[in-house]
Amino acid sequence: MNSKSGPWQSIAIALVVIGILALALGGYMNSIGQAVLSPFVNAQAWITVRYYAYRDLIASPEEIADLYRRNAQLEAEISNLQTEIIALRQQVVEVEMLTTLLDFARARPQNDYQAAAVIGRDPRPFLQYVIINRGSDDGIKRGMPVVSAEGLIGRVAAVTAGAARVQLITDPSSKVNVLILPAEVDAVVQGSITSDIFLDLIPQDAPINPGDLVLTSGLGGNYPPDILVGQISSVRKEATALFQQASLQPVVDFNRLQIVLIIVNFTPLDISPLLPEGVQGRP
Amino acid sequence: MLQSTVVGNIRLLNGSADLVLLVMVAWALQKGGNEVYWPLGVAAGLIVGFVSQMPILVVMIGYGVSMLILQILQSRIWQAPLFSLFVAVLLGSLVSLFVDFLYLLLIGTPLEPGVSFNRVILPGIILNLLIALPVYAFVGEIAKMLIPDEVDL
Repeated sequence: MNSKSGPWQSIAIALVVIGILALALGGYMNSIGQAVLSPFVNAQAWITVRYYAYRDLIASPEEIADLYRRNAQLEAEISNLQTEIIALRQQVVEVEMLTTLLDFARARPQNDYQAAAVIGRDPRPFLQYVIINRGSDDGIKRGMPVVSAEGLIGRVAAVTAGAARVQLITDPSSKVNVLILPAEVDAVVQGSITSDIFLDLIPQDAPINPGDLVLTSGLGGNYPPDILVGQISSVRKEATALFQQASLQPVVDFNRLQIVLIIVNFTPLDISPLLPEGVQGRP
Repeated sequence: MLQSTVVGNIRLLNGSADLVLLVMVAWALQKGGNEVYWPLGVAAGLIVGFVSQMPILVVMIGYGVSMLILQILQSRIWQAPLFSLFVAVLLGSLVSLFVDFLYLLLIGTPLEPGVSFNRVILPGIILNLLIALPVYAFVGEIAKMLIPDEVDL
């Protein structure tokens, strides 16, 4: 019985399967499939939603704590980087300044320089002095000229072991012997309490004009020659006066002094014993 | 240090505030501060005189006169510390700057009195008066921390 019905049975099953496939491919089985699969899909979705919910509930506190920790780390890192950026910017400014000063020093190989930072100003408003962070321990002596890349700043007025006080050329009691170019006329640069500087003792017949350059002359032995001081901005000439006067625009911005150079191989000369009594106060 | 680096750079024309004078006056006005008028004046004179090109004696005279003014004010109107503060700062600044001016004039520095008063002395006094009150409040807080009030048991 079994051996007779075997092939027919197989053929019948094959035909049923082919029929079902044909119906499925023809789209006739969709509604039946949906009806059969829908409960399974819904159950799967229900289980999945709850699984994710439980998983988040269990895992999220750790993740949030981790996120907080990571956030704090990143904020600290940002803060450190910002501090580093500020420090690097400051270093860039200092390097630029030092490069300029180095160029200045290379252009004048006859002088030996010692760089110093400006660390303070004289607390009394009538005086124009700055305090620098180099003193006698660094070979600084009283009277040494102080310059910047732009030009003359002043000279060392007092020295301690680790610091020195520099009298600026804008100080009311400062006097510097200078040479006006191109006229090649000697004059004296005088400071004032308003921080303006002006030229005095210019001979009446000297042909000077706004824009003329003013350099140290070296007379008197207090400053080396040929250091730029400034440029004449206006000339005051009165027929009844003995000398002409002129306002001077300094090349150095004295409000923004940060790093200065001290010429350490220049020793100022004390010529006061050679002067007659009446002129001993002059530069 | 603050005077030399920060306050000294804040300028009105060519005048600047004198933080040392302000702190000295404000401290002397605190409870118990009136016992240290002269030590305060001497200490302030020494500190500023060491940093400044101005001789220590000149600075001390300026601060000493300021302390004297404050002492006289406190002995008469001790219940009005703010009034004493402003009067002492006004007169103290004037005297202190005027002593500087006189000294520089005596040693032969070419100073014009009119320009000196208009560009340095007057702006300096105004700046001192402007920041006197904040400095007084700040010094008062420090004094409270350092010298707590006595408690009755």
